[in-house]
Amino acid sequence: MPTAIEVKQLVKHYGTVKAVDGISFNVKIGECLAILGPNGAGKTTTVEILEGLRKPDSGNIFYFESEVHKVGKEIKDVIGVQLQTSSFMDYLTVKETIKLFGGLYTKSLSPEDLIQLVELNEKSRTLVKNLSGGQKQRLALAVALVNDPRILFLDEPTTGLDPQARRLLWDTILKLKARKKTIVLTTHYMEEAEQLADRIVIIDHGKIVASGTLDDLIKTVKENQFIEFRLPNSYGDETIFNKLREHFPGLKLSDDGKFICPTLDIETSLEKIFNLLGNLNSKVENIVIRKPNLEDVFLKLTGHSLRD
Amino acid sequence: MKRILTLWKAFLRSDLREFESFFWSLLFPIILFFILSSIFGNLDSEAGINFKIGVVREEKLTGLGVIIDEVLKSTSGEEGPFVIREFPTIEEAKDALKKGSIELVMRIPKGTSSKLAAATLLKTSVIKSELEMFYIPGNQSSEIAADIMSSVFNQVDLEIAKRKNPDYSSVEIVKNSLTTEKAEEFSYVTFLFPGVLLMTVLIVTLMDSPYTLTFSRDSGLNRKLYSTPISPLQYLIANILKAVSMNILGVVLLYIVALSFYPVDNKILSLKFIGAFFFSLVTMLPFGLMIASLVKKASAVVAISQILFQTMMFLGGLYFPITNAPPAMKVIIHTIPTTYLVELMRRVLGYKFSDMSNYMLLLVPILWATGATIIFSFNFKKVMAYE
Repeated sequence: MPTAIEVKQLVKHYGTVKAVDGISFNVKIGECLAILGPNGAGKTTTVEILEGLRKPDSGNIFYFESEVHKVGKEIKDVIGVQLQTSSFMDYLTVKETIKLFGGLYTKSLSPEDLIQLVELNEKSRTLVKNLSGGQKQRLALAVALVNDPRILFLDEPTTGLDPQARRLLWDTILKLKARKKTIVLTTHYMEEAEQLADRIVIIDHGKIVASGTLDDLIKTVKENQFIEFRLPNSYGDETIFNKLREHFPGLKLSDDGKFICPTLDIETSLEKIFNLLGNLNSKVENIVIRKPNLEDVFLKLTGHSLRD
Repeated sequence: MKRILTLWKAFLRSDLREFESFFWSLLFPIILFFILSSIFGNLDSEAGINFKIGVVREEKLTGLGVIIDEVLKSTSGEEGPFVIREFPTIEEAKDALKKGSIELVMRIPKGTSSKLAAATLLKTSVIKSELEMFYIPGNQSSEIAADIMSSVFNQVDLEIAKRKNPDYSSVEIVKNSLTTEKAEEFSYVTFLFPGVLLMTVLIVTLMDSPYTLTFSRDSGLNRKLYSTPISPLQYLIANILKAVSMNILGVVLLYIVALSFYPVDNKILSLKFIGAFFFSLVTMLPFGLMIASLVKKASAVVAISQILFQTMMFLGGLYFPITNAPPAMKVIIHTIPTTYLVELMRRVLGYKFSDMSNYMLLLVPILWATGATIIFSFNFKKVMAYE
């Protein structure tokens, strides 16, 4: 499959801070690539370089297999961008806003079609200042699609939205995926990457720590199951944690007091946990057995949580 | 060009819908013009009339001539609209009129009493007693005083006629217009108009333009726009076009109101005056861009713009002549561009309030505009917030 974007050894500093540290990846035409990482990992800087909003200190960018030294008008005309926080003119209506941005590109789609796609039909005559957060994000998506872009950049599209609004936006993005639109998505929600992406690039401290499909990444976690549990009325007892860790070296204690125990043999491990806690006169509650996810991948690769 | 026009249209539409922009750019100048001209332009002539009349008696009135004295007495004092001031010579009275300390001069020439008596006794209009009045055309108070005094004496004459002979008139009022270079042309509303016009320019250039630029930068609108093919320069041009359009809309409204309801001199329609207005707009525009260059946050821009706006408005002499300011103030007055711009527009209308040459009136604003443009150019990336 031909590539839509290829990035080689991208570097960007802010003063003495290296925000992007030699990143290389590619995006195939028609695929949805998620760049996953915690806040401050360098995701937004990376996509803003690709969108032409920032200049890299070094590195090479290729659009449709041709090197681009400066992301200028020609590239901007064929990409769609939804920024992390999109700001529009408060006193324009939804339809007028889409029309305004349509007028800035060489070609544009009909505002009515886009309004329908993002399900803002009832709000087409509403002023932007009167929209809710979720509605504003859907408008931002409509604006990002106004030029029928060959590549769509979505920078943390659902940050700050309630679960219902997030689900609604995911549905729209899935519709775009079904139309084989090339999408580059940044997120710090593993569920978002799992739901939407064909391939995932995990980034931390400006560097790529892993990349591949969801299955590929999960395979890197050798333990195939996880036991999660809590102690009653406790946010994680240090003494108990240390005792358990002697038997389970991979055991982690999350910020909210949850014990996370990776295991290859679920039955033996469970028996051992109950025995050890019984000897320590402690009980177990909220016990969950689950398969590994991106959070586990991230934790394994970086030693800290995506939410840190 | 298509992108600039698209953005300009959206900016303009948004501003017209936003109450604050609509009020400050379009309504406020009209309200201010109304308030100032009502207070200082003597537009409300019905209330609080108190005209000062200079009377020059070249003889002591006797016989029927006493009627004139009685009329003057009854129209002055607590009940009447006039305050009478006696002058020994017609020259002194005319001087006072020219200086504006009185509104009207009435001359009672020698022989008035005898002529009045003869006309009444002989029941003829051949012999008349002539009362001369001097007033300032264009000065509303002076014109009104002359009209009232003429009607009062005509009424007195009619009363005498009714009793004696319906065909004759014994008193003839001779109205003389008195002209001086300044007095002939002075009208507060005409004086005020360029001031309010320049204030509309200040609202758009000092207040609106730098705020819009910094607010768009703070809010992230710039960023969103730069993710499209529009360039920072195109965005700036669209912004300037919007500012100019808002100003022109405000000015057109002000012209309509001023010409429809106020006795503003028609010279405000001359190309020279309109040119002076555009010169003001063009030279003040970089000022707002300079503010946006030197101040980081939109909230700080509001404060700085307000200080500059008030200073330029009041010390620039937009509403009142600034002639008796203390020396320290005079330094500011002679430094700020509005002093020169408003004087330039007023000179087109025939007023001259300073000895500055026309050359200076153009040079100082141009120097300010050039300096502001240079500062803005050095900070272009920062103001327009792109990398």
